[in-house]
Amino acid sequence: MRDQTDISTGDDKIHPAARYLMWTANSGVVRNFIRFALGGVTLFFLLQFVFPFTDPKHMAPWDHVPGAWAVIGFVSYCIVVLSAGPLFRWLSRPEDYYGEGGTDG
Amino acid sequence: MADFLIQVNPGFIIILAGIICAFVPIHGVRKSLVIIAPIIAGWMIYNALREPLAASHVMQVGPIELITMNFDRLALLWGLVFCLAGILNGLYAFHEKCGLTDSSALIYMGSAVAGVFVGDLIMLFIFWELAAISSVFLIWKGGRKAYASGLRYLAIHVFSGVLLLAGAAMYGQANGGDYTFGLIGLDSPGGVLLLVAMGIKCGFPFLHNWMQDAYPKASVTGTVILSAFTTKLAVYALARGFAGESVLIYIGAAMTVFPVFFAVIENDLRRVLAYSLNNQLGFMVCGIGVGTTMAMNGVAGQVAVHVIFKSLLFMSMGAVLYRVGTAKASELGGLFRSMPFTTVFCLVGAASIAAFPLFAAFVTKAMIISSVLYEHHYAVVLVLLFASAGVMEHSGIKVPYFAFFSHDSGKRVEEAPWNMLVAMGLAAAMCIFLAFPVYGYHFLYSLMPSEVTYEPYTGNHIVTQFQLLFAAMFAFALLKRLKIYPDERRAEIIDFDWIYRRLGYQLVRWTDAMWTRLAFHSGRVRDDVVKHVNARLYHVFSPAGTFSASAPSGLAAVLTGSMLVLVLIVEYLTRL
Repeated sequence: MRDQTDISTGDDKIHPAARYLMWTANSGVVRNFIRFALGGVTLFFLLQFVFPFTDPKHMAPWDHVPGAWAVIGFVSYCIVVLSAGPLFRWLSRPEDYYGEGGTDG
Repeated sequence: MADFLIQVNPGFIIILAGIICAFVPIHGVRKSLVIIAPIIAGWMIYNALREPLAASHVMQVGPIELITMNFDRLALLWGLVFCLAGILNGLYAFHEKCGLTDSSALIYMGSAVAGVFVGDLIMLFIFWELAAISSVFLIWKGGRKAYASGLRYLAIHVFSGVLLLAGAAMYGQANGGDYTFGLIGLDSPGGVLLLVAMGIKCGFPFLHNWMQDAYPKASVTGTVILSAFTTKLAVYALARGFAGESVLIYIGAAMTVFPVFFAVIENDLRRVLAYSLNNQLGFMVCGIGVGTTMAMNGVAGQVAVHVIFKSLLFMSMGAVLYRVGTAKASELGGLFRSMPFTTVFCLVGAASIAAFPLFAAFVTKAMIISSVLYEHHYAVVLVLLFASAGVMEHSGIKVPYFAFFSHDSGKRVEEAPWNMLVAMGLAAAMCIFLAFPVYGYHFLYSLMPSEVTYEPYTGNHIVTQFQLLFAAMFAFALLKRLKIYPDERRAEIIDFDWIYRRLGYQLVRWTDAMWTRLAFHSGRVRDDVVKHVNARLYHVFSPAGTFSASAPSGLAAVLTGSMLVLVLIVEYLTRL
């Protein structure tokens, strides 16, 4: 089914086109990603004052609060990720729990 | 010729191509059929769009009218996007030399297209079951590990079909023999059965496990094909039969949320995508529950873009599995160095499903959420926004991050084959085109069931959507920085299917063991009882027995008398 030819671990097999993406592995970029995300949140929080909701009939109660969507996004994401620990402890079993083998073909 | 073709269900052509494929040994011819058949079907749908009134055909079978072709605006977008998915799948699987896969993929695809264009519940049942039976081979192509999953998949889908037929029979009976597939509603028991049948295929909560069970175990190409048709056919059936049923709003909302929690702890990225698929179906079901013109347009649009971006995501993970041999997040990382094009296509798919402005779901998902808001279901809107942040987590960040970025796993592989790259490239281009502010989304909106007045690119929509997405990205970066974001670990995550895969299985084994033990012990008791009864009967009825002492006829007399009594009882009962 698969063609796992040449799974090597050396850098000689880096794809030529990958050089355009190498910046993503730069430690400075990785370290500063949080600033980029925070900058985005701040920018769009401020832009909400430029582009306010104009149709009160089609607004949710929280739409009156500037930045409400950012709060919803942040809190929701944190709830999802923070639930992972307890859920994993509760629901995880050994990989061959059902005795049918894993999922990789 | 054209007049004749316009009355033919386009799905029949694809099914016919699938049957021919089964007998063609030449790889190139088969692959040509796999790609050309959906193109022809798409052309037929386009023709039907020009003359919608002529595009119908009724066949009389005994007392029942079977509507083999019924074209309308609701079916249009489903039909076209199914054909597009068929072409993409044909390209993606072009390298695969397997007649069984080609044939079953075409018949499966054709069944889905045919199911969309039939006009009665009996014909729907036929293609509902044909889709189930033909698609199981795509799962079994995943190898021995997929065998049990395939069996479960088949059993569940055939059961769904049985429920559909039972529901159709009850519904037709209640409507004077009218099996026309229109708005059904939940007023009759038949309607409830039909909803459950569709709910199984659509992944309603507690009925969803076949998806996460079978999809990650299917072959690399099989998963991509499977992701496009089964569930979307079910969404179509729900949209036609149960639009505006408010219970679907809450079922859909639940469907958007629970997969998010499973996806975050799942290690297998193809299973993560299967949960993500379930989550996206939730948005569609919710929109069907609202049932307004805007909601139904949103559902149709979401189905169209979802087929494309979900295929794209499954294709990218399929390419990773094809090259690396695993799609486990714990084993991957840094693959952008080897597979840069696949990385970019996956990122486009991720941006599309997360509904970034300029990417596919931005112009459709908002229609569904807005329609829920306009009906003042504020709690449901909050749930959908929560789920949107969840989508950003599992499909927007987790899948591309752990496969292509994260830590460098050191694995260096070849880029995906050219045909996979072409298929992914086309899907990525479609994801951008269908959301593009100039001509792009207008084209998508022009194909929707009703006229669209919604404008997606408004200032506050762009701003609030970016707020949500950037806040989610900030939360990701912060949780990573604080080392709270969980590492991926190898494990089997149990879901509701534990009930039948573990508890039910153990229960059956226990019952079997108990039955064997009981049979052993009861056998001795039974032997003793039979022996004793025989001895007593012999003492009573034998020629030397008690009865024979006074009645020489002995046993024969008693048997004759018993037969007479039995005949009298039967005669009496038949006359009642």
